[in-house]
Amino acid sequence: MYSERVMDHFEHPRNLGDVPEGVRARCVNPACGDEAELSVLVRDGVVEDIRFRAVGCVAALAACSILTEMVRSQPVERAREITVETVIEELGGLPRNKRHGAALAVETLKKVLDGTPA
Amino acid sequence: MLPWLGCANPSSLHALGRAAREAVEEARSSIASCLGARPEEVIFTSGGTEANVLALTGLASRVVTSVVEHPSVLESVPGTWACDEYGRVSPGSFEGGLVSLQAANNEVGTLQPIVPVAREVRARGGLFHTDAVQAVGKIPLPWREFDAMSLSGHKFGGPQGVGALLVREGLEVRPLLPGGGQEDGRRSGTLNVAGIVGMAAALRAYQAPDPSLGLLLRSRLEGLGELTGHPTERLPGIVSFTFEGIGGESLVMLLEARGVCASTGAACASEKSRPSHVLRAMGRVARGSLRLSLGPATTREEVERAVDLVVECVGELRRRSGCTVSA
Repeated sequence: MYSERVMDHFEHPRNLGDVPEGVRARCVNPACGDEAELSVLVRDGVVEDIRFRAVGCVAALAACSILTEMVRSQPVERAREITVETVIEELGGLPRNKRHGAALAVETLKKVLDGTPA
Repeated sequence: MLPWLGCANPSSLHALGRAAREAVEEARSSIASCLGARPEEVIFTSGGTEANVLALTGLASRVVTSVVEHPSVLESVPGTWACDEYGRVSPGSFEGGLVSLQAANNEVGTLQPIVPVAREVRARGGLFHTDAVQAVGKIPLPWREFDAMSLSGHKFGGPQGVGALLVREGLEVRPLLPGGGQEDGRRSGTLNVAGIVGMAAALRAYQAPDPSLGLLLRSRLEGLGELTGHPTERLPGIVSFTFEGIGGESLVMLLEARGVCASTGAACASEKSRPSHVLRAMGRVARGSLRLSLGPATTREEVERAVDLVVECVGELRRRSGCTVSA
């Protein structure tokens, strides 16, 4: 059902946890109860640190993990350009009915970047 | 089963056909005997789904059922009788016709009060069908109390793709599958001889799982999560829990990687993205639910190992969610 990349990020999540001095945002998918939380530290317009916590299906956990890798050390403008499709592509694809996992990760990213100081 | 794969058609008149017919009738008598029924009361089907649909469409024009039935029932008849927080159904309104109530729930293992309900329904001139697919071989099923009963071979160690509907002698059933008139005109189609023979053998040999293993599993996981289903009126071999702080099918996937196959009623279960209708009817959030089924061959060591892995995986997933519920 899932690609090797998805299973790798699910079984060995990267950047799990919390950035104590960062900005936090949380999103929930009401349809299935998946939750994602991102905490981000931005310095001089660059994402210096980003970590996640998540509850829910494999896709959501894997998407959050890979998203933190994609965003870490990137300028905020570049991070804002990340779409659901690019996350799914990085993961090597997701089953149709699991794409909401990637959508939740990207929605949480947008929310947390909106909350960071310019 | 092997000698009967690709055998002659049991409806044929020649010697090979007669031999196949004999095997079928022997299986029919065996199954009937195991269940306290007469051979004429056994109609072979392709499985539990077909048996359920045959009962619901072929016995009466008015049918009432519960909200926690298997999809093969609910896709034919919307459920109206509600359940409590344990998934145990209370009889609702009934104005004649057929009542269909499962013997035991497949998701949480709760036993339904089928005998008192059947007696009440029949005393009022109605008919009573039970989907006994999960229960055959595991709990007593007093056939004389019912008018129809569904069973499925693979649930008691038989092959997939074969089942039966028991229908009380003298009761007419409108066929779902018209055609060559097999099964006394009640279910047309060439009989699955190998499957039928296999199902009969499985039912004769079946031994229910050791109830003490289910109790062991329960007692070891009870501090970690919450048991779903009735605490006492339940199948001994199904143990179902919800765990705070984790969700989706992530627990099932993590356990599978460690050699334990389980299932979940969560929204993202299998290929559907709908939450369990059973857990919803019970008022439970389907997230973080886990169902473990024990078989007759399950050992104590396997149960102990499964417990250790569930504890480890729940702890790991709670760490990822930042959940502070202690393991």
